[in-house]
Amino acid sequence: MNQKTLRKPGKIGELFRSREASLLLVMVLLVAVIQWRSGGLFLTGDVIKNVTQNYAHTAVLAFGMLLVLLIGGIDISIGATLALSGMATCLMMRDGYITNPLVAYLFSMLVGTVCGLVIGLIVSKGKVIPIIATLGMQYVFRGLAYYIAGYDWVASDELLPGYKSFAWSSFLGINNLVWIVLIVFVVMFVFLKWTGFGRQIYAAGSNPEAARISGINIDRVKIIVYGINGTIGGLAGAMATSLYGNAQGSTAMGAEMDVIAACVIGGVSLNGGQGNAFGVLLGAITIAIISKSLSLVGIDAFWQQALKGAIILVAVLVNVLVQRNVARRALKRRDI
Amino acid sequence: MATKSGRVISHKSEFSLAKLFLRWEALLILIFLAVNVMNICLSPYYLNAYNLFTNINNFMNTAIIALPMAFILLLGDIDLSVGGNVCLSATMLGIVYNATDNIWLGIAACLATATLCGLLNGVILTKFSELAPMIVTLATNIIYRGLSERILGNGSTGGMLNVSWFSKIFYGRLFNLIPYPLIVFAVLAVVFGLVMHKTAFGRRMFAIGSNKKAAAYAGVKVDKIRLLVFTLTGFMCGLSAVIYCSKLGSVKSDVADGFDLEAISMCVLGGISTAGGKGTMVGAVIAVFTVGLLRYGLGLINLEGQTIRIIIGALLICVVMFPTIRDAVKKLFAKKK
Amino acid sequence: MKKLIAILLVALMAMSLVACGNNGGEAGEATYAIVCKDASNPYMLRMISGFEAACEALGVKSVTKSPESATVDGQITIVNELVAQGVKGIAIAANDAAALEATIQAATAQGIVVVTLDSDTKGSQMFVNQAGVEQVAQVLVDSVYDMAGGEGEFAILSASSTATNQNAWIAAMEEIIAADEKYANLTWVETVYGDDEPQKSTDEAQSLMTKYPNLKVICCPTTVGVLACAQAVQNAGSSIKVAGLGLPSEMKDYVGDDKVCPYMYLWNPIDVGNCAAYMIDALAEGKVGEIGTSFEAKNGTSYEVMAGDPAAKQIIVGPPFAFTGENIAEWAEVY
Repeated sequence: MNQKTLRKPGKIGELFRSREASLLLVMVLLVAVIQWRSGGLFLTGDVIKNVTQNYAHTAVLAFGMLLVLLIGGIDISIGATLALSGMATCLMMRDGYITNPLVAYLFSMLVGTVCGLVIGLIVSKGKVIPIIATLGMQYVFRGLAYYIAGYDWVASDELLPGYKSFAWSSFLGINNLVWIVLIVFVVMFVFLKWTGFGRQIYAAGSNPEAARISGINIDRVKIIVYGINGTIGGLAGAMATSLYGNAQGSTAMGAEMDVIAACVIGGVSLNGGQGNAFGVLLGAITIAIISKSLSLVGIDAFWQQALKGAIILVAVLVNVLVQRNVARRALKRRDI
Repeated sequence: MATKSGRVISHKSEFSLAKLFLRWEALLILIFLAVNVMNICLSPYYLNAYNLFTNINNFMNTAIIALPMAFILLLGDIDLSVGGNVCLSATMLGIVYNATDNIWLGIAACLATATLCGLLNGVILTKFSELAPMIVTLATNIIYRGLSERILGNGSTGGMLNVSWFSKIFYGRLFNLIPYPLIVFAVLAVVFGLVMHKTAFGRRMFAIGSNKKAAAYAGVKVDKIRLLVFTLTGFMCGLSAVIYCSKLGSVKSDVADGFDLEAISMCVLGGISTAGGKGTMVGAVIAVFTVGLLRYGLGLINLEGQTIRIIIGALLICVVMFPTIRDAVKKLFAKKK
Repeated sequence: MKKLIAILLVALMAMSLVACGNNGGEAGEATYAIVCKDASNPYMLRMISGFEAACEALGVKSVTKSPESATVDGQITIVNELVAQGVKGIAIAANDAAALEATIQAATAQGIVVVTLDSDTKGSQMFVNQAGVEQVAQVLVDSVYDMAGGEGEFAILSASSTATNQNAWIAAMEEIIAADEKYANLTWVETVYGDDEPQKSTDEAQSLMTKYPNLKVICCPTTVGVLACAQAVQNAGSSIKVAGLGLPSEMKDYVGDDKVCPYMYLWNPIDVGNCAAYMIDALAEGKVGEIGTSFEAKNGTSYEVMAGDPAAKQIIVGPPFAFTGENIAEWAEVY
């Protein structure tokens, strides 16, 4: 080992060793390949606008999932929560109970919160393992989304014009939905980094026993976290239905898998206690790029699924290899 | 006795009848009976042996996957790629059969593909043991199904049923009553149960599931066992795919969609904890039939598919929550005393 | 252990007692069942309403069933459940053109009349065809030709790659375009799949617009895709036109001379459901003649019985109907 690497790393050095840096590298490479393969079509204003707009609700969900994963939980019902809250909101709008887009968003968040709290209670008070609790509730919420609508859709012209146009208009040149993502990101970032409850979440996730002994009410943390996740699911439900201008029982079927993949790519550990909002933002962008770009690069439509899976797998594996390398170097430094 | 049951009973009970009731399997049997009673009350058509077997046969594809899934969960792992695996290996069966006109080659290709897919999962998970099995198998699931999509395009592969004995795999019946897949399942269930509860291999699986590190220090070859179990799961996917091909006679890339979660929910209802180290094969088998027959009963009164799912989801959560509720009620009574 | 067994035996006895007390059951009244492709699909709902109305007129009970997702596996289970209930007739919109054969044969062997509607499959006695494949393909090709002004690039945004009807129509479109010199100036750039999902369909529609700046028409032979596509095109402010098959009630906002979709096609799903019920009734009574004869439904409409493929016979309910800016509002009230 030469002399240079033996020096104590400075701030910049630390930055480059962080998980986010390795992810950023993967992302830049990915974008470069796509830009090259698509003949320069990818990095254009229109495409960037479309990607951010279409994947805004997936990104928002990823921040909720981050909290859940941090406490060592998981939520595979979030796609169903999205569908149920979006459907309930659109039905209320169709039947004339909601006449204001803002009220619609708030109502959807309320429905989502109730869904989240139910899961929180089952997980904390019912002592059911999160994956099972959310697997069961996924069936329930998804079924309800179909059931309350009588298996029908809510059609485009039954929604408020303001509700639909909100998703397609911009403020300061940035789409409203993207603003929501940015706001949720900033709130999450601040919440996790600088609030006491944020630290409690990390504590509860990395070592529940120690956290309990130090006086953290784990059950309370769990209920609140699943509640917030539900709120975000409801928010995403309103975002998706206003964006696509209709509500279907099958909306966001399987979205939870994209969301979990976004978190893991963003460096969140499924064992809890590890991960941050910035990484998740990068992970969500990566998933959006993967999903959107495959149809642009001129890859055969039938290859897309397999490639998407392969890219997710490679992204996760590369991340592990980089981390191992970092850990090994850190260990060597310590030896000397 | 209680150590191997679905939920560890921490308190000591003097009253042995109560203790028996507290066993997960006893609870399951009661639910199983309740489901049957309910079905009989709901529909006059339920107690028809021939039709009952026809409909039991319909969930044997998933049931066969639930057996190795029990092993996987026991290890504290999870495999979300079984649906994709079944789909890809069924595709290979059709493709190879059509290319060679030899059904045996097709079946061989199917089993080989499935085993390889399982092996791949296992290799990735043991070489990168810090990765969560959930995310790896999630990605491989997309890959396997994606490959099938690539191979089949917007078409399908079929014609296997031209080989008359091949259709018997699914549609054939012993004594003109008991479908062959059910017999296959019964035999496999016994084998899997014995391996799980009566062999050193099974004990090692329990050890790994309860504490991976401790097991490794105790000399259990954790990686080897995990690799073996994932590969075995792959092979069983191949078996399920063969039965599937015999059932459908035509394969599209949407085959076996959602198999993974269904198999997992059957195991969990059977008392096998996704946290690993707990559960019995008997429980899993009873759960398979409980869910399957509940679906059938609700189908007989013509509930919509999605409504049935609401009921199954709620049942799953209520049953898993049962021990907690029971403890809470007990505490309440204890206080009153 | 003994006590456990004792308890179980008691429970079993209780069960059999209940069983004995309840074995009479209702029987006698004839039931016709309709099996859909999947749950939430407004198009299927309209078909169901037609089927139910006809059953009511015929004085039989009607049952609606749909699998959890659009797979043939779920439909096999459902048909088996219906056989166990002893229904008299089943109308099924098959999710696969071959895989239901054995199941349908088993049902037919029990004396149950099985017809297909919307999507055909092997083993069916009769296919109640909403519109001939060639007819649909022809109107789609013609609307692309018309909207593109006779020449230029067009693309297809379909449902999922496993959707049988869409695949058949697209294949027929290919043949029609290859066969006629008239369409020589049309360039078919790509066929993409939106999986009948809003997010993916929107993505694919937008990608088409980005990739092919000279694109003139996107043709969507699916009610979900056409909606997502029309919305994406309209919001992009693009001059691309959208052609395809859509439900008037869903597409009301987008259809019209000065809008993204000048006109679109569909048949009346209510009529399709209606006709299927009358067909079951006629087949049960043995009143359907050979190929070439005419079949008169009990509501007065008559159809020509034709050779089917893969079903034994088929009737065609009607040609695709055009929805334009003038009649869309009126039809949106109907379906």
